[in-house]
Amino acid sequence: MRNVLAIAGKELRTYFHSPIAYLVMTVYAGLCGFFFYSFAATFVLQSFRMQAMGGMGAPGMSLNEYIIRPLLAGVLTVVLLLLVPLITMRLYAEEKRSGTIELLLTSPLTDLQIIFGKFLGALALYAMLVAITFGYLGILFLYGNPNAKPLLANALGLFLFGAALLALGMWFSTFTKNQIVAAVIAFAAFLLLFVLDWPAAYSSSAVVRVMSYMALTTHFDNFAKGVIDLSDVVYYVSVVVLGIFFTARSVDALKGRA
Amino acid sequence: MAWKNRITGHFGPRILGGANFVLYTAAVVAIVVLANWFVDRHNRRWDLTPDQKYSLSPQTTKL
Amino acid sequence: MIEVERLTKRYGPTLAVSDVSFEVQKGEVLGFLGPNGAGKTTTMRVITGYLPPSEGRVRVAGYDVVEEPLEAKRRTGYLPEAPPVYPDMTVVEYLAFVARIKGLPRKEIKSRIGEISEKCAITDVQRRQIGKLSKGYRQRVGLAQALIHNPEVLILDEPTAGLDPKQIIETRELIKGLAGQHTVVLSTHILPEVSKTCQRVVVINQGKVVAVGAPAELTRRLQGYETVLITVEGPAAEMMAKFELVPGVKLVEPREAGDSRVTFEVHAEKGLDVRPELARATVESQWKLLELKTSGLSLEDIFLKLTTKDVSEESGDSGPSFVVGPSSEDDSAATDS
Repeated sequence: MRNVLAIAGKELRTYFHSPIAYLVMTVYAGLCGFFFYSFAATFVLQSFRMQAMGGMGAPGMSLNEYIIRPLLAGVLTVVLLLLVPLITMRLYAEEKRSGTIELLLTSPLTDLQIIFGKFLGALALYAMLVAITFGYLGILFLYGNPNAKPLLANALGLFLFGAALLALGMWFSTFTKNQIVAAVIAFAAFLLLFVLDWPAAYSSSAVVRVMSYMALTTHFDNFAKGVIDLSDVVYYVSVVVLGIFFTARSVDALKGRA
Repeated sequence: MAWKNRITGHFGPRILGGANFVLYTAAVVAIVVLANWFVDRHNRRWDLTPDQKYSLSPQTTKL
Repeated sequence: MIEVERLTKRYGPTLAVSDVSFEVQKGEVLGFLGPNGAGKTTTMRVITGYLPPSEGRVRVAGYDVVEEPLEAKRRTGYLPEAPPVYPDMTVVEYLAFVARIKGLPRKEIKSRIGEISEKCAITDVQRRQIGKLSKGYRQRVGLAQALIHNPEVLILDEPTAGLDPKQIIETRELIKGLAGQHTVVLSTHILPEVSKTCQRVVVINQGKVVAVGAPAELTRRLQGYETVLITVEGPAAEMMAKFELVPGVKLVEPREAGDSRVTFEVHAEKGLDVRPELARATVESQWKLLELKTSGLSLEDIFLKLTTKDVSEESGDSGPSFVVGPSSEDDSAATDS
């Protein structure tokens, strides 16, 4: 739909007209690079040690397992929990503050077109972060021989994870005119959804298992390992659906309906 | 959502507006929960790792 | 072109607009007058499809804004009180964006932007970021955005707010030029603006329509009498007595006095033009007639009268609305339309 694209285009352009896009990309690249380097350096060190100790130690350690997986599951998910709110905070908050939401809502656009357009725009910016990630991972291919197939799962997982966060962040952005508040709400919510997983380490009661299921990062582990699990895919798609649905309801409320 | 207004028209959104929202939300959440439950039972995995590290071998599943 | 039928809008417990009804004919320029907080903006927001009505219906170009919002919005241009501009975009980028979302075909966009920029006098700032423009320019960009898709209906909320006098005149000229081709509803609390640009007026107060009609009609209705101002040079007391004797005169009151001249405000029976009689009386008494004119309530007076007390004392009922149609000549105040 051309309307969705028009909105998406506008969002993307606006991101780059302000420092936000550059800030987010730089911070992400920096952190990603730092940890990538750490894991890679550790890996190299370990390999040397193993070689020194007992002949061919290498077969047991794969690049995927020791660099890619911890980077993705351990570090990047957390980094994204912190950075995505900065991407989503302005989606609706700024429109409300500057009054441009009146323009959007009085134009021949459906609410869903607007929502999808914004979501797509944010996703496009996020895609650049994913590209940066794979830029780093690509370095591994230059110097080593990691397995390529699991990377498909990695990419899918990263995309779905981001999409879920973006959808939720967009919803939170409808709560207020103030971007900062929108970001803070998102931070808090993401933190909560992250922490829901922790009790699972020492308890497996039914409640804890449900909590763990609801946590955002739980479902990422398989993707990081190189496994595409349908229930994980459904989970993330569900979160996206809910995020979009609640955004739509929130926009309704803004109009003084329901 | 114009059809909803026709249904609630006679009662006015005052009475049924809130109910509309609750119903709609409950329905969506229910569908989502059910979908997740369902897929949990009938799951499918695609193990892309080289030696199928994370899948149980046929022998193990036979146990 | 626009039909507002028993519109009511509630925000939670607050009643912003209550049982408002009026119509706007094709090509008309309607003034929407009322104090701040009267419900003008809310009503406009419902007409433009931004807010759904709590009760009642609104139709634009025949399309119900709730049932067929896309069709209605396609034909509507809206300039809210604060122009809905994106500060980080340039004027051209912004207009192109608006053109796209209003459904203008791709090929036409470029030429339309050129046309509309000229019409709104913003050609020289086309490549500048809107955030860096002065208020006057921003307002004009706002107007441009409302017009870019050549809508049949234009809803303008305080279109001259914040402009300097020269810009105000230009904008009013622009709006007047739109009549006929477009149907315009403009809201304002600047009264002279209304009499200068609008053919009809809807006065709204506290969410209710208080009067509808052409300014001249309203005057007549409200007053219940004709007003004539006569300025004469002569003995004040004698003149007053003489004028009071003219058939049909209800009241003579001195308004101004200076040198040896006095200005009297004369109230006569509705429909009666007492000017010739007054003139004759003056001449017969050999006083000097300096000025003789009919006068109506200024719009300020109308506005204040309508918004600070009930009109019901005049009409004798307690209905909230006071409709004066161009065709009705009867005295009774209609309470529904």
